Amino acid sequence: MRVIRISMIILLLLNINLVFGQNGFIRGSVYDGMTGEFLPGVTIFAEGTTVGAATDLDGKFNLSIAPGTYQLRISFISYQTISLSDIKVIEGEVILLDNLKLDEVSFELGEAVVTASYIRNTETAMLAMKQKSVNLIDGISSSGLKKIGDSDVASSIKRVTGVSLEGGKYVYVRGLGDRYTKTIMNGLDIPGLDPDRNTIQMDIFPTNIIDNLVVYKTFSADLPADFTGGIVDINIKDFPDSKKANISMSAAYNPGSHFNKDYLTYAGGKTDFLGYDDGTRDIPALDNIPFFTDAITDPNGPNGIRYRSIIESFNPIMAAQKQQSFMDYSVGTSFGNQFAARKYTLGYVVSLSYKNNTDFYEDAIFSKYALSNDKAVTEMERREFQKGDYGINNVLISALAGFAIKSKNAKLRLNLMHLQNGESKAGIFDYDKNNLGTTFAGIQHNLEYTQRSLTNILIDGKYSSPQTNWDVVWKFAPTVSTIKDPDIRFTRYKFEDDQYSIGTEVGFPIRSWRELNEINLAGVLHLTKEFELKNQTIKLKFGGAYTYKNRDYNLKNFAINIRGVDLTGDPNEIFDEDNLWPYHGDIYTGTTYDAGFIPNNRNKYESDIENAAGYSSVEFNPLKKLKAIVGLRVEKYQQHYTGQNQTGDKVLDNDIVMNDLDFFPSLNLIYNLNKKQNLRFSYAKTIARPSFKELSFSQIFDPISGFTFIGGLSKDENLFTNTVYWDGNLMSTDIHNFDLRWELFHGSGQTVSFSLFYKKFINPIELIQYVRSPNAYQPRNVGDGQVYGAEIELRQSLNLISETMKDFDLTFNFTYTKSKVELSNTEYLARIGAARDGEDIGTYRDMAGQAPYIINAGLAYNGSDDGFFKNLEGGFYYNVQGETLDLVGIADRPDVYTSPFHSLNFNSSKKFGKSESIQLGINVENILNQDRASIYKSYKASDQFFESRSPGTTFKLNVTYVF
Amino acid sequence: MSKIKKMKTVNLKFLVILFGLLAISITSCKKDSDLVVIPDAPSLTAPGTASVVEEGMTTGITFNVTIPGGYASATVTALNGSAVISTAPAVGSKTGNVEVTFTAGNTSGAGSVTLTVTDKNQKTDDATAIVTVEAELFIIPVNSNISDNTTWETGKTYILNNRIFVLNGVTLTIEPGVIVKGSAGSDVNATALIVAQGAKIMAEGTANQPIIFTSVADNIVSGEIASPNLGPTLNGLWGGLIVLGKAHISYQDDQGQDSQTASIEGIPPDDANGIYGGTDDADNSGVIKYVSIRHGGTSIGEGNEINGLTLGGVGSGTVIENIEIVSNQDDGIEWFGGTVNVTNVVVWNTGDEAVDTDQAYAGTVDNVVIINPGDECFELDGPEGSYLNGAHTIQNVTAIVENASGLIDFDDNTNVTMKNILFRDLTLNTQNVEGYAGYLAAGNFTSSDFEVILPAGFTLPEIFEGGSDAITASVTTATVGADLTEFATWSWAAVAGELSGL
Repeated sequence: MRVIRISMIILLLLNINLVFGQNGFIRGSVYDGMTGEFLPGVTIFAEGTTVGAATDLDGKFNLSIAPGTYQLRISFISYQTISLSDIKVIEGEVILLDNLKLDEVSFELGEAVVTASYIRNTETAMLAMKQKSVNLIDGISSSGLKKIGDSDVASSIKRVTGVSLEGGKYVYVRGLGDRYTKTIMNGLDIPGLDPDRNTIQMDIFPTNIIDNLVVYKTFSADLPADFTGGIVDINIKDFPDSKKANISMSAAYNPGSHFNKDYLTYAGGKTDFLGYDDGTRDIPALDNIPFFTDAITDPNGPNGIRYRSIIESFNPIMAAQKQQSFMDYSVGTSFGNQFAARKYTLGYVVSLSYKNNTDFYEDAIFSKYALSNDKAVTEMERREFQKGDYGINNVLISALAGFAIKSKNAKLRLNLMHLQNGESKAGIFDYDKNNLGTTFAGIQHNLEYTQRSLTNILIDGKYSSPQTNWDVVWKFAPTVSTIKDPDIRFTRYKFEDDQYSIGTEVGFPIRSWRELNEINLAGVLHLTKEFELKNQTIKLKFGGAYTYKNRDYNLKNFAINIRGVDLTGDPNEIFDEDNLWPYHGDIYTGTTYDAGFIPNNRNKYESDIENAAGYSSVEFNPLKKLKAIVGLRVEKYQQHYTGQNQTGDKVLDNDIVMNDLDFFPSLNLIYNLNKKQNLRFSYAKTIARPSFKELSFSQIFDPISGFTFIGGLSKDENLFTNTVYWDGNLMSTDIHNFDLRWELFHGSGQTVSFSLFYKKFINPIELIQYVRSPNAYQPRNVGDGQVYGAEIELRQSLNLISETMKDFDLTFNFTYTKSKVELSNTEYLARIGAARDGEDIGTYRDMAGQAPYIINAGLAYNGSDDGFFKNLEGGFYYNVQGETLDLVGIADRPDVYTSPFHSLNFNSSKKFGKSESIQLGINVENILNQDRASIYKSYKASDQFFESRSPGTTFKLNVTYVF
Repeated sequence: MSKIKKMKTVNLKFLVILFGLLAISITSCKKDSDLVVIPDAPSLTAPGTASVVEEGMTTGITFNVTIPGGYASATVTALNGSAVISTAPAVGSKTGNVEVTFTAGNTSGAGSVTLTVTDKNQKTDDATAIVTVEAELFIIPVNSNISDNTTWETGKTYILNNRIFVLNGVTLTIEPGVIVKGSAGSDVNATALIVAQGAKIMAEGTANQPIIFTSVADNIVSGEIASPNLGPTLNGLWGGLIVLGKAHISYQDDQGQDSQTASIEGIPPDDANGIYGGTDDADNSGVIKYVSIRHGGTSIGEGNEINGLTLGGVGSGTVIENIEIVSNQDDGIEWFGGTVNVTNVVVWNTGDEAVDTDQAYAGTVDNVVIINPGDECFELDGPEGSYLNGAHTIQNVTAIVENASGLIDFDDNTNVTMKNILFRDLTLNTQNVEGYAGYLAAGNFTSSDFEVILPAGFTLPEIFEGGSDAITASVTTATVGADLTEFATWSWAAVAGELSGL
């Protein structure tokens, strides 16, 4: 019923413009050339008529006018008036004049007259924002997103200066990773989707719902204080300025991945193609799970019968199977409109998209290497080696609906968003092990499924009073996110003397279910007041923010044993009905399970965070050309935790594990060298806090990596020697940030900038190996760290070279960073102990995840004014990140580095048709056919693969029809 | 301003009145205390809930007493048992506790303890605590670490509901015939008995009354040798027995340094009780005699299972004799360094190796029978660090190979001397001796006097690789091997006939 009602309203909205059909529309926005902010109250007047309009609080205007050709006057007190000529209005259509810049009156300039054709490059808006922002920011606008043609935010974000991606998903800003980078949406906290991380994966956001991406690199009091490298703000689409509706489709072909008969998969559920599991992968039992011990004492009684029924309820598929793959494809639609009704403007936007991608990696390698016990031997020893093929099918659905109502001074918006993602993986690997006397060869099958979803409701409002100079912005957003890994299936056989076997040496087959749920409630209130004092405008900003986050996590693991049955090496035999316990009635043989999570589940926790913040900042001009923004933020942060350690003797029940009150001062100075050049300086204190699971006694075992994570509250000590390696007192990290930037904006979206930065970390947290137990890691405060770096950004039209090249743009950015962190005593001794003969061990090393350099370059063609090349755009885009320390080695385990991946993509598009309603695009990804790899590196040793796979080159065709 | 002034005046008035009232009350009190009054009689409170005690056992009962006239004396009487006062308040005390020790009689049912307290003025009061006497428990749950000297008694069954440590300085005595059963559970919920460094286990079974460690699934009762309901191939139902001592181990820690101590596998790394190793080669962890350990070895993660008997840094002061391991999912017995000698061992149907030595174990293993292990019969490793103090000796062994995947796995640095070893009942020509060439080439230790009874068609060099055929005699009637008579009566293997006809 409600659905019908809503759809009727939508239909009504769609039709409303017909009512106004006899007129045409001129819409657009005006911003202040001085501050870069949108200007409310600007009058727009069509000369020779009586028709006019004023901009609203977003600086937007809407002029309904009879068809014809007009000259527009745009004026505001004490600003230059601009005049736009030759504006042709057609019945029922919208002329868009976005981002008109109004400068304050200077004596030497009279009235400027510009023609409508001047306004073409909307990238200018992002640059204006950048030039005028009090923070150091970088970003990509909606037109930039469109031009480069990336399909998800993960691919786009790495094109921003100083931004790189780890594992293709996690953002690093200026080489600082997860702990020091924060992702927010519409300016508000969002939950994570990875139990091991604080930030969210970027590949879950399709670009078609994104308006722009902004990366804040310096802190100001109105931003959350828990970032250091940067904050990535993902801004979801607002309603459009004119009626917009489109349908798009794409198809991509990768010779290695698609239509390949060797592609590996396994049978999933009926709704896998919709990005969620239909219950096919449900856990066979949640309660009343008898032990095998219960079953054998009572084989024909209730326990035995229940046990048998549970073992029968496991999905019987354990083997990956070959099946020809299909290509990548996607479909999407989005539509939106705005219309004026009396004093209000109403607008809506709806966007739906579906993507289905298939990847297949042949001869992928995963291995573990270690250093020899003999310190004279520099070559690394191969301990584990997996080589094989795996296929991935990824489905991503996004749905967005936004509604807004706007008056001249106020705006209210409601945005609903849902993202649904399902990824199915199947692989077969040859496996070799040679570790601590255990030597064998075998095969393994991995079947995995990951389901992620994110639902966000944003309600925000804005009130702006040009009369009183008050601005009020409030936002409230509840978000629910879930990640599930239902029924991860893992089987490994030992193959020796022509016989397959499963035992303690190779490890038993695993079926596991993992789930993470997070709820966020976030709200902010920003108040801005401008007033005159001693002949200058002072901007006072103050407000508050509140965030509540609750996360719960659990992993349920069944170890599977196949007792006394001859094995053939086909994993499907394990749950073959014939082989299930009791095998042919024999209660000593057949397939059995052990539920390791009963009665105590160590892989489980619940934690919540409350963060209440208040801030105030003042913006003033101590000198005529110097703008200063001084601010102070206070955050009261409290974290609760429920969970226990492995032995169950340390139990936390909603106990407070952190309760901090912190002050964060910030100073931003902008010196206006001239109209086009700024010099910026900034200092701020920020913080990095331990994550949910780090402030705990948890001991979480990852069956895939074989590592155990130990919460930072556990002590590491030797009671017999009275040595305390770690005291269990995990603290937040304070960071002092210094930034200096010179920037030049020389028109038509051209810019040059140069930045230097320095960051000092007090008590940074790193994952450190437990002294007494191999493969156990714990977050600990280590010695102080430092990062310093430089960034260059260039955006230049090639008319510099020749006028014939005027339609070509060159973009280039380069980030160079140097980081060092003092080794903890444990790590230092471990490195000394494992050092090869002749190897020098220093007291510092690189910070993990810190890329030494990042390069982005693009050569874009923007189309000429007429002929075939009109509306033809295209470009080559290149990205690379220097060899980056990924996993910190310790003792006999060498460091792992991510190898540079030289990504070169081509993207082009051309509009066709009478009203340019058809857009055709061609993309080529990974033109250089590079491999993704991480490698082990050690003193005087040949590099060895930790991981390697070949994604191949992908060719993509897309069509968009606009109506 | 005026408001504040007003408030001040109000407060002042209030204070005057308050002081006035106080003065009146103090004077009136003084008047009262001039009178001579005999204090009230004592009042007693018995515990609200009834104490439960087993027949013949004792329990403490605490009475809370108030004695306005000052404590003088107390008496106690009991029904269905006897009671004595163990602690009382000091004479003259006005409040305190009287603690009574109640020893139950031999009849189950209700009982009671009545306490009478007399004050200095001969005033008395009494109170009665209710006691429930229960029949003696023969199945006793063990839920937490053993932190006081404890005896597990003949005829009783003890259920391990957790990982149970015998803590440093504590002795656990297990009497002959006791049955210890581990509850079900794997991973973090695996059950095991762990004798920590500095603790002692005195598990002295006899040839007629062995001590049996098994699973709760086992219906075995004291006096039985073979399980009435579980087959000898069933493994992984509980953990195992782990003994940790202070003798030398050869271990390199994660810092690449020689370490005298290590953390035993299977115990969470943040549990300091899991440490073993040291410098006291004569360390004494107690006595383990005539003990049969069955159906254990549950999984606690990939490549991490509990052995039937794990001996970590156990010193030579410890006595370990007549040990049987049946159907353990991982190894039968594994030594991590240490110097303890182990005599008369039978290992039957393990999932992994039967006998496994690591970290430069330096004791003697004498008179061993191995029957049908899942992996190698022997997995013998050497030092992991630089510490090495001679070899361990393995002698007088009969290995009934059956479905084992191999016979011996030597490493180049294995510090072992093996002699008088018999292999028989081989089933595949891939059941071989590995790594012997490297062990021999290292030249540190030698082994001798191997015999094998080869099936038809098998050749000595294909089984005894790397030159180990030179120390092996192919025989039809063995002249070396274990003395099987040591296993009669008390071992399940012997009772099941596995050792007959050899």
